[in-house]
Amino acid sequence: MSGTVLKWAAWPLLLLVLSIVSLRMGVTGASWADVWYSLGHAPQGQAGIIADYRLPRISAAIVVGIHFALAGLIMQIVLRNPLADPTIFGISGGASLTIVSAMAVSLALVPTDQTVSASTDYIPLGILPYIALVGGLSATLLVLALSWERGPGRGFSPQRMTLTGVIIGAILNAIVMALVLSMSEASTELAILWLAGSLYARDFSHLLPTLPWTLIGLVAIVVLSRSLSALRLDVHSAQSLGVNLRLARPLLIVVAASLAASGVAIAGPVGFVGLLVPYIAKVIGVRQMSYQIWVCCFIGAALVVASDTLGRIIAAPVEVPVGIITSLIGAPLFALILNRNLRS
Amino acid sequence: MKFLRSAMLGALLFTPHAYAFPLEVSDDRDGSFTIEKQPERVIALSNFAADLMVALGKEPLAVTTYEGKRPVYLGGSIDKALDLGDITAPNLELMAKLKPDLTVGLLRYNGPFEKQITAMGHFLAYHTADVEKSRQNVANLGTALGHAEETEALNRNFDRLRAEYAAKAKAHGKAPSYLFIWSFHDTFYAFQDNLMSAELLSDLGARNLVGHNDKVRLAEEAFKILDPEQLLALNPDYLLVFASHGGPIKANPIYQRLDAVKNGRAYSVGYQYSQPSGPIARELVIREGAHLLFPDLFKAPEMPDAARAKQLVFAE
Amino acid sequence: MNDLRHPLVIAATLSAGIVVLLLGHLQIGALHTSLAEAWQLLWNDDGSNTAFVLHEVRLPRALNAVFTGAALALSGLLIQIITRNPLGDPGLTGVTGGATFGVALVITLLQPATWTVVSAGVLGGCVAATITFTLARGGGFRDIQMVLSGVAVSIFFLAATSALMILERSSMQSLYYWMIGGFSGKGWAEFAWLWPMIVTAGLLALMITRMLQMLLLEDAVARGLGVRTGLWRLIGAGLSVLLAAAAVAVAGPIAFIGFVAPHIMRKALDGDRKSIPLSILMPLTALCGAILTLGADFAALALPLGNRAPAGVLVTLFGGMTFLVLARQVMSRQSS
Repeated sequence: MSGTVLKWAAWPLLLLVLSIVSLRMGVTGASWADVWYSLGHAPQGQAGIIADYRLPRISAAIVVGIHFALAGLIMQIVLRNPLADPTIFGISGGASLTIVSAMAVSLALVPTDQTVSASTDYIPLGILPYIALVGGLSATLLVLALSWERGPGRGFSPQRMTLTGVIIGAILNAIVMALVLSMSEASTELAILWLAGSLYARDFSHLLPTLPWTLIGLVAIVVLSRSLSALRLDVHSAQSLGVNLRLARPLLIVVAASLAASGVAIAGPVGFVGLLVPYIAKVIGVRQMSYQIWVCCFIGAALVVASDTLGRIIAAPVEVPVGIITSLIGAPLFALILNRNLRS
Repeated sequence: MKFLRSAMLGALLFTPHAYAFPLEVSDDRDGSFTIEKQPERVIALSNFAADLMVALGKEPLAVTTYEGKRPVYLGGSIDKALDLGDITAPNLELMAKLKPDLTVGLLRYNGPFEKQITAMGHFLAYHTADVEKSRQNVANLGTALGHAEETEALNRNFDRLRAEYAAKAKAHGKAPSYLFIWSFHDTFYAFQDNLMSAELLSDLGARNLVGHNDKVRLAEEAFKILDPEQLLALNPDYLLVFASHGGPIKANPIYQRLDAVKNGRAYSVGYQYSQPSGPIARELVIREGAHLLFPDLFKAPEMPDAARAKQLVFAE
Repeated sequence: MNDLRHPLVIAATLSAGIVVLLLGHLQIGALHTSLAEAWQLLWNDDGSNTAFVLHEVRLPRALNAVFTGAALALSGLLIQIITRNPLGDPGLTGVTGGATFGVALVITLLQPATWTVVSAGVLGGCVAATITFTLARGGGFRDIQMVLSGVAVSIFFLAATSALMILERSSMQSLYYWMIGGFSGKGWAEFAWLWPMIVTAGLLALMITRMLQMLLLEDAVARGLGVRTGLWRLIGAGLSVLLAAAAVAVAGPIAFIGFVAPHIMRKALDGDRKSIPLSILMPLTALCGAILTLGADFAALALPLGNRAPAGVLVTLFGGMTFLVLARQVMSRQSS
């Protein structure tokens, strides 16, 4: 019994320790006392800096990590491919496209001789998740529509969904690039920074509008966990378990899309998280579906927190965006995993 | 009379300016706010702000850097200021730790992060565009810093310099043609007269071959992208190139056909030309620009050697 | 009716189109020339600026577009054969990401001389593709493993490029327009590098069409016929990478020509995917890619789109739309 508790409790504990260490690390030095006081009431000095800047940022990192990891988990199971990830599937591309378009539109609408009232990125923060969702879901629907197969093999084959997704993702990324490069120079620089996947200046006002989506996503994935679990089996076994495949697959993909898109709304497209995390979970031997969901949440959060902290300290005072770190770490890790995958 | 005037001005300079505060200020954002007392701890996120502060003899607490380097044309005056990184993402923790009274930045880069910056202290954000805006910004920021008279004097001196140089250049009846180009590898942005550097050079009586853009909304959009053939078709007498990475620019056979290159009148100019809205930069652009475009009429100005224009070289 | 589908007719039409566009390229530019003038000056260099521009700017630019387009189309065709999937695109091997990073590295750390930029691009592309192949070798190159490995490798190199751009902001500015793709400012210096690589790879590809044709069969069948599928896949993939790397190093990461050209040709030839002999499909695809790219560049020159539409944008938009139209048809034709 205590073995089970330990199994489940180990992960949040890991994340907690990592977060506390991350609170301590940064370009302005801090002590453990500062970290302690930052969590209290009205922190001053260095503790105040931790409370104002690192605490919200790490919270955002945790949420982003959860979103992308779960999205990746769902996609890998539904698409039957251990190499699926929202950033290459087109979900992030779609979300990015709508957000960048909105940036372009809002900047164009700002009258020159007048001023700009505050809102980060010139777009009201509350709307950002919805903009991202529209884009992400549209891209997903496009992929689903294009991969719908008529005739004898009715439904969505994982093969076709994957390949369509990759191509659509590539198209969307190309369009985003073209759009970004056609904006004025300053906006282009800001857009490129955003597209790298960044937690710079993120605080609770970025996080709170997204939390409902976190909740919805988590509830949905728990409710659908039986179907998800069944989808890991081959088609016939799944059907014999009474799972409606034709419904479950697209539904789950939509859940993945919402999670990924709302993650994009906070930090932009942070790559590789969805790809790696479920695989790490599998490699360390996680089998049971509910446990897998649990573990993925925490590993995802830990990965993003660690990457963000690394990005904050390696080139100080300049920050390396978290999306770049996850991509750069992710690739060699991914290579290792792939080798193992092929060998087994 | 002149002595008395200078004495009075001198007295004014040494008078504490606290009487000017509290001060109602507004910048290029919506609305206005009150600065209670003269700002002592100031962060200059933009070159314009750092420039103005150096001109006023003040030291900013922190500045942003471009590729890790401070603007060379300011000499060593801001070497002691803390490096906050790039202006597109200045390090917020370092800024907060400094507890600034005032942070000055650029609207287009720092505006989106207004909330975070105003949480630390007052924030002034400016658009930079042309000469008139530069005068306004200098006056506005100077007043906010409690140095209204000095900045007024700075603006007056600037106006005088412009007029003086323009008169001298035009008196000799020369009207050389030029192009001011920001080169990005294969792509050339030719500045039109809406942009300050070109405006200053054209004021001297030189002809900007891409002229003025009457249709554009924002000054920062007033440029033309030229391909090599267009460059040859325009064939300016003088070619001023700002190579953002410094060093040689990509070679192209077109260059050897350009009169400017053949006559040794193609120059690689310093960083101060890219956005010369600060008092030191704008004066340097006029003085050095005049020397480059009218070498017989104007001598090379006193300035840090590293910021001087050099002959344009190409990477083979 | 069958005549329209005849390969020679198509080849002739495409070639004629290329010649027309080439002449159009020679005529268009800031130094106005009529067609007759351009033709005259082409053969008689009279030392004027116009003649100079014709020989040193317009002609090489057009040639770069032609060869780049042909290279990308061929590269895409090879990938589609090797992965046995009609949704293949040269970028799937990760070569575009690698080439971009190579160029970014040189522009940031060294001087932007043509030879360093192009060779760094080619090298970067080849390195990236090699990593992809190494990662995917277990799956025999045709699985989704290869596709997704390639994309992951691309993401890695693009992230590395982003890191460079963010740490050295001047590189961000220099890479703007390079990354969107285009032929402005590309001259004989680039072409001198481009044509040997393209011609060599193209000829090699033509020489091995028989082997590549075998790869379209089921692996078991092919091996039964004594074909070493793994080896030929590798060779084909290598040629695809070289072609794409050269093209991207010169013109930037232009998407989609590689994907779209083979399909356009297949539709034009109106045959089942497996029944069109590669010895016919390959040269036609190359011609198709050439004309598409040349056309996009011509449109970029001729249309009054002002600052904002280098060839790369037009290619992306056209390719994107074409993909969407073709995708449904391709999907329904593909045996599942």
